[in-house]
Amino acid sequence: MSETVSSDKLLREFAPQIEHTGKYGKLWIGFLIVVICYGWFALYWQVSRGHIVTGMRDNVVWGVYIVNFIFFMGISYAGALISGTLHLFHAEWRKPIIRMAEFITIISLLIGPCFIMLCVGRLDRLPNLILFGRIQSPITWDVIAISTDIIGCILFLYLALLRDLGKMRDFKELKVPQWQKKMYKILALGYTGTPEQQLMLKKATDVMAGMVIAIAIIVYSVLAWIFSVTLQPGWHSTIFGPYFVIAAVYSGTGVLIVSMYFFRKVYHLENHITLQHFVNVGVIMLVLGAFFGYFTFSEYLTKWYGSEKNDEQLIQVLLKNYFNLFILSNYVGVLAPLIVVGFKKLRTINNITIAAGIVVIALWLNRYLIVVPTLETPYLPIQDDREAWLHYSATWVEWALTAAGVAMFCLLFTIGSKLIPIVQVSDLKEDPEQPGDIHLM
Amino acid sequence: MKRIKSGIILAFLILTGTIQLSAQDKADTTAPATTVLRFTCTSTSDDSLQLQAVISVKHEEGSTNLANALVLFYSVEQTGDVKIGGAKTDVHGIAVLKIASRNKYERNDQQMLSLKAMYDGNAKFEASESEFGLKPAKLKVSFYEEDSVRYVKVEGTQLNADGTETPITEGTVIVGVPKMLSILKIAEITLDSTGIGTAEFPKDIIGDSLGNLTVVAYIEENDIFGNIKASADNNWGLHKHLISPDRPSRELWTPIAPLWMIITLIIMLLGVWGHYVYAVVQLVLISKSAKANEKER
Repeated sequence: MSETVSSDKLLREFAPQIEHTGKYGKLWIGFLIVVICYGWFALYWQVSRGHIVTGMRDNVVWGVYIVNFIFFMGISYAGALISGTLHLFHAEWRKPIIRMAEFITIISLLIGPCFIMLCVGRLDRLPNLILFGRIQSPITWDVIAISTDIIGCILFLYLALLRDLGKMRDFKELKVPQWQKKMYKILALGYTGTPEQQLMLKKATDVMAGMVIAIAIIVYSVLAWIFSVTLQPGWHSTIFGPYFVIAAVYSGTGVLIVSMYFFRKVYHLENHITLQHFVNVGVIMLVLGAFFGYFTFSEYLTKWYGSEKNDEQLIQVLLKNYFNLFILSNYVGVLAPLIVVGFKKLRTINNITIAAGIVVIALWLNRYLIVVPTLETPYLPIQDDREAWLHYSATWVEWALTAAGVAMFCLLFTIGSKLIPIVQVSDLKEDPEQPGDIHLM
Repeated sequence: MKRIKSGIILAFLILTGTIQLSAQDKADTTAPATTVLRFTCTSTSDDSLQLQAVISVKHEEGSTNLANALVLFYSVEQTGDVKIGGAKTDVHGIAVLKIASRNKYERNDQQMLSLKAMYDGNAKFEASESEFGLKPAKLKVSFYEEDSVRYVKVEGTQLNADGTETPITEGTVIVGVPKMLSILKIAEITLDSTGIGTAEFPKDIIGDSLGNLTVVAYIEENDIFGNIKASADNNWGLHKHLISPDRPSRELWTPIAPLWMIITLIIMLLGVWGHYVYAVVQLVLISKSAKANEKER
């Protein structure tokens, strides 16, 4: 068995991204810290004054926080599924982008659950979830599943990093602080790439690649069941599990493409991440988009055709009060990648990235349309007809914390790329060949 | 050229989603909206009359309640309207005013009060009014037990203008128990010539955890008496248990989870964590092999 050995030349190419942070890089980090501080202020505002400062009320008890939670968890599972699947299928072209997918998984897994905490009015009662948790409760399933998933994904990322950590430890020319070198040494576990170590690492990575796929499907299904086991109109659906899984991978693919675009530009990875990579991930996005469109159509068609009173009411609300968002989420969000990736002439890096951006926004809106309109159309009449009780509208506090979550995602991604090369150096060849193509008619 | 084409297509896609934006808001109409005032009066068991007005505003799509609107109540008398008082509507559009059943307001030949509720309106909402006539009366609810059979007894009394009381000799009284959404009817009692009626009290009504029940008796929309309402409490209900002891003990709402759920969870967690442990063991072996290699060197 021979491992692809990256030369010092290749490490030298990636060293500057770790050694230096330029003027714009510092500005970017500063900007993200400002947004996060604004979020902390909003959090203080919310904790000191209570949830009355949010748009959530007795009827619409969930708002953009839960939407952000579902969204971040979704993109995390996408990262796990993409990296796990591509690893198991030995897709060679995955190598320059696989680390980004893994970073997306870990970072969003750390941020997502924070949003569910923001929904809790009495955070001091949070330990009760563990102390008095009932296995029958989908919330308990979610707590167990997410914590299991976080540990699994961190383990998978660590296994994937091990060879690079060894390379970084042994690369003497790297000009980084002493603590960073020590960190590489400790985390590398003395890995030198002997055939025996390679075999052990391969076994562990293969097992974990399979596990993260399975766990990702289970965890996101559990998240879907939080909604679908209730009898609420719009939520009580047998296809919610697979629908959520597909939507998650779809949005995650979008985030991956956007990340590829920015890191390619910022770290000048044009030689390693080529148009073909964008097309390949774009094709995955296209297929997922088709599945997502199919699930969405199936979900709404059956509700509309059944004409059950409350479902009908919900569809009325969606098509009347949320018409623009509905179209953007369920039509534009599906058609954009189908058109851009489907027509060969339109397949440029910019177009695919724009389509991916549209997908990300559309899928966030999709989650919003799943959560809010249903809560605005309950079975029992709302016992108060004040506007704030009837209709949810997010406040500045919720938007500030949402922005802080996104900023934290970007900051952790940036910090991650400053500690470890954003592409898997140990897998790359010195002179990259054109990656394999995913053929599309 | 390629970029221009693709840009046009993408712009079209985004526009499809947002083209409806401008068409959403309709122009406000300047004419005041039509209001509907529903006025009812209820004689209650504490010798008072509850005057209630509900104001709603009509729209194309239906109607909504009008909050914070001042409703004035009048007694319609031969010499003209005499103002009784006013009340503002709450968020449900309801304004309530309570007055004594025995009051100074003029009655007609049939000893009936003629009352009126008025909303003056403003630039946004039209004025509206409604009238209601009734003779004050009251109901009294009591309970007794005879030969181990429990009964509910209702007594109806008319309150005359001269201060005397006469029995309500005709009319049907509904007896019920308020539940979460509506009143559960338990009996329909016809009053006799003395104004009294009884009915057997059912044995299967569920009360609170101590069996306490509130029983209401009412006459609705009677031509002479309008609405009359009274209530009383007893502890004849069945004790409510959240968990019935004769049900299986492993259901979703019981403290112990269903067995299948526990088994499934254990299998899944063992499966997943078993693999995690395997991966960690491989890492430990890598570390050990590295140390061994170092020693050899």
